[in-house]
Amino acid sequence: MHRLNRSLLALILAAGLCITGCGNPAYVPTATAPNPSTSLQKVAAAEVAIGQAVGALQSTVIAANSKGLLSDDTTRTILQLSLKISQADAQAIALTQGIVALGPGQMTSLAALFAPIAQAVNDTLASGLVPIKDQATLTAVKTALTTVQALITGLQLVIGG
Amino acid sequence: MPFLAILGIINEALPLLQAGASIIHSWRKNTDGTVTVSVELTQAADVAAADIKQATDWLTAHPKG
Repeated sequence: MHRLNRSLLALILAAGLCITGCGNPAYVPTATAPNPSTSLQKVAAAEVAIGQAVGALQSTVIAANSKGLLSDDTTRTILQLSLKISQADAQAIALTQGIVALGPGQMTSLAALFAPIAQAVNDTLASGLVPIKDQATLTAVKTALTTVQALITGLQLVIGG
Repeated sequence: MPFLAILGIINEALPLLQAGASIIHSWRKNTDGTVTVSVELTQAADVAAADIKQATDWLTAHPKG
């Protein structure tokens, strides 16, 4: 569990760097050409980080379930939520793949994709984790889900959703 | 936090950063001298697909009874 917490902390660190653009040393904006794709780059970084964070969340709950620390019902609830997040992420990736800048239509589509997901994550964090009795498991799941929540919130800030 | 623990966390974060580098920016120099940058999410779709498969596999193996 200690190693799991370290991994989650590492994920949060990496996600933060991705969002702030520090993980992209190759890109240097020029003074003469305002970068039209800054928002797009941030959204793309968030899409990558959300996929990684959801993978960490799933691994956490599946491992806890296999150890008998998480019931099938609670595991099912969290995995169904993660499935919705991944499907929204996949659609967002398809929307943003290969384009040069985010237009208003794409921003609206992305906002519509992630608004219900963000609400579902908030609801689960607020009340969906109550059945988890093992404190270490609860902390690990809450940390993983909070990371996903932070990444989605960051993406929503970029697109104005 | 001990220095070695911080080093350990950075060490674990590096592969994630490398995965984040799967975002490739294609450059195109325009005739007016400006630069257009497009985004290619080369591995992100694979990560999302793997997540979907992992969740689907577990849910299929553990139907609500």
